Amino acid sequence: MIEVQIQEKAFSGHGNQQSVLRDVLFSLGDAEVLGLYGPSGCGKTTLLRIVAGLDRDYRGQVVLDGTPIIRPTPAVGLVSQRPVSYEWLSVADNIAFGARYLRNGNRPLDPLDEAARIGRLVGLSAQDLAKYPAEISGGMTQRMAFARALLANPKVLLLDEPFSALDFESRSDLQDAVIRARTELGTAFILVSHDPEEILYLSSRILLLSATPARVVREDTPNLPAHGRPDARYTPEFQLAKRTLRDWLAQQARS
Amino acid sequence: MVSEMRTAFRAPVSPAQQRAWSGLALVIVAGVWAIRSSSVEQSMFIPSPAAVIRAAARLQDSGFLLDIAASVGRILGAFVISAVLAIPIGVLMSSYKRLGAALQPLIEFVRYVPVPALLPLFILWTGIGETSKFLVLFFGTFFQLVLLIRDDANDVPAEYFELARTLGASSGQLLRDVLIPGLLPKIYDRLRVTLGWCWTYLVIAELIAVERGVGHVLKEAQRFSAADQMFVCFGVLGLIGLITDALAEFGYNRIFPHIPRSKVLART
Repeated sequence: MIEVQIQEKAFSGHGNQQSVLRDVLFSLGDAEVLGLYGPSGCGKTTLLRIVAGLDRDYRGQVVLDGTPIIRPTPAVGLVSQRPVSYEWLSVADNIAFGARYLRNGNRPLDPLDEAARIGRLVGLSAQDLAKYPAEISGGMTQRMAFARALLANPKVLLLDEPFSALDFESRSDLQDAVIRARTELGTAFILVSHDPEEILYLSSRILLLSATPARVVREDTPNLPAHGRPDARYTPEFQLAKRTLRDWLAQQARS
Repeated sequence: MVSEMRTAFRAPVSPAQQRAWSGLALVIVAGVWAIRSSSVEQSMFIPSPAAVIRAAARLQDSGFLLDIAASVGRILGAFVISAVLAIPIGVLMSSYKRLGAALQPLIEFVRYVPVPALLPLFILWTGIGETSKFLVLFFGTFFQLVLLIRDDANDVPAEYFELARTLGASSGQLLRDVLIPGLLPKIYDRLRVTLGWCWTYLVIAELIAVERGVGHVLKEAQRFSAADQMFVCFGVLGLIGLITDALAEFGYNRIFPHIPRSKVLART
């Protein structure tokens, strides 16, 4: 269980302070997927950086299973829109990179074997695993980044628009991998996306954030038929919910 | 022609084309050299290729290989010590900003003092022996290299470190697993460039009181207005540079197989 209580996060510059997040409070249970949906630039990425322990300059606290997060921890993973590749390592070594820092109980016996297993889960072949990041496509690099985050077996994985630049096939594969990780590994996710379809398809709960300074405007639990199944996207209820979300965002942009 | 230049702008060349263009340039230079040196008046200042080859044979008889070995030895000694000290200091200056702030003005100050101007002081401190030569080469490379390595270390993307931290890496592990491997190709390039600078300073270092060295041969050639011997020295220095560069390039492809060929070509 992770509890996020951010009273205020502000950036200072040119002699004044600009508030980015204000009174953002929520919690997240095991194996839950929380979607964050809001206008561009409203502070969603900043929020994820705070939850990941990468930004400590804010008022409030983030608590994971009773322990405040004051620095980055393998228990909270992060996959961003622009995936990071360690260019000098093969794809397999990139995926296994974090294994060396895990405690004995969590560390896989053979990190490269585990990298291959998780690589398969996200659609990477043995040939892909042997290549260097410079030799694979953007979609494959994103799969690699997602697999690397999963190998650390985090309790919460933060996804910052990780699939937005991908082709349809890669996006669908990785969305399904999120659902599998949630059900098979019990991983909880916080997903930031501008795509209402993705938010509705993956999230068990959705927080709607206002424009800067971002506040939680509404919390929704999409009660849609066949939720989490690929055919869920084609039901009238899903299409209606998608249109509602899109209209809400357009209204936010106008206001 | 203009349209060809437009299409050729930043267009890649194949290794075969590169060799062909390099060969053509050499032939043109050699041709101009042969024509210019053909007149008797010119031959004193621009000796013919044949005269240079004869001078090389004479120098060889007087132990020119030992001169080359002495120069290479001086370069390697000073360069290795300079690199061994500069790389960790540059990395630490980037990693620990307080240390960087403390050392930067000192290093910048020394960097701007022309090394030849320090030579009299080095001789005063250490005499005319090998140590003063070492100091010229060391001062010529160390301070520049420290700042280059620091800047390169600063350029390693912050995302590399943030990702490793979210995976649980400590400061020491960030240094070992992220900074050093991410920096190695740049270090390699910097060493290659600063090795070239070393050769520039070598000639200055060997102008004073040495018994052996290419710089010493050059100075002697100047005393006797022996342009042919000077040309031999230039040829040797250029050849050593070319061979070193070719070896460095050969090593680069093998040490850093992850860097795509297009990027390797773009560096050259």
